[in-house]
Amino acid sequence: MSFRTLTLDASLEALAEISDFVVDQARAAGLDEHAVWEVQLAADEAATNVIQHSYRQCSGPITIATQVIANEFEITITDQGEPFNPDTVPEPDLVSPLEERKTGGLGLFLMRKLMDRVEFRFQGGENVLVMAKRIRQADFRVVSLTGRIDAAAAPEVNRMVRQAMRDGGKQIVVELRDVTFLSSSGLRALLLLARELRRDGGDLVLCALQPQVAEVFHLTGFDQIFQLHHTREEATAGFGNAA
Amino acid sequence: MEINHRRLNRVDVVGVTGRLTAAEAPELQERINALFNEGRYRILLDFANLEYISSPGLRVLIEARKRAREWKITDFDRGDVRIVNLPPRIKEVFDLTGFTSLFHIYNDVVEAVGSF
Repeated sequence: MSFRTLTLDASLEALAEISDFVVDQARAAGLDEHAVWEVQLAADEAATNVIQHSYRQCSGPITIATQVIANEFEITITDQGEPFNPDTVPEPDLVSPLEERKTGGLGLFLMRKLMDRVEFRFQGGENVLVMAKRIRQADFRVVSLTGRIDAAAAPEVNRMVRQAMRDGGKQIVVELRDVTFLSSSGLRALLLLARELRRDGGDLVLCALQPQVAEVFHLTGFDQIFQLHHTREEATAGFGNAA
Repeated sequence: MEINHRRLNRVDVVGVTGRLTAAEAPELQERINALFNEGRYRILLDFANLEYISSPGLRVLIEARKRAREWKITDFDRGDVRIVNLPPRIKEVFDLTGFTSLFHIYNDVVEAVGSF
């Protein structure tokens, strides 16, 4: 992919166009859909900072440039507003109770969290922000379970998912189309595997649940913990289709 | 962003569709403040069709809940801003920013309305 740039007047109305531009370029660079969204949010937060802080009340140009370099998708955002010093941004407050929660610093925190590299510099009268996201080959494994998933079957579930993880899959889709019953032991096995995968930057998602199995997730609140998809295609779309 | 509003007996249900960024956050804030000004402090935000949120949107939510909680008839009957139908990507932003524990979040509108 070649070098692309977009220059706009820095205003809140520009945010949607910047977002669309970044999404198109990130997709073209081969990022999976989840990474595309992470880049979109990071760019949105960066552009918001430029509009609300660098330019404050006045206006000026904001330029977004994207390129793929050394297996990274790189975004450079340039403005001519007030020099920005990231060290002056407060650490985000992620834990205080509601009454005391401060909301400063969330944008910069999200940028650093979502991107692999974030660098600010002031150069030639311009703020230059460079953010990069590594391009990973989208890769997932599908594990299909059948029958009753109870305490007796939990070790087998564990074995099958671990086999898929050993094959190199950090993104695991567990297909429950032929599962007729899921007990708390089965849920727990899936939860432990999902936690392990998430620690490693992966995930475990579920698809094709029969209604009585879906009900178990709903009643236990586990539908807040797991992504549930209607079909295998819907589940794998989030991981990209390179595999 | 589009906002739709349904007034129930005790609760106002506010559905938000589309993007909620710095460009849209002030409009949502105004709509919520208008409800407060009418004395309506029990608000359920339905995010089923919310596609995208960034930090200015989060800020509106937290300020709204802070204000709602200040209104009370008794210690047990206070205003609140609660959330129903949180899409996975929005949930992810909530988790990253420590917002999940700040709100009562429901999966079902009937259950959420009944919680007030």
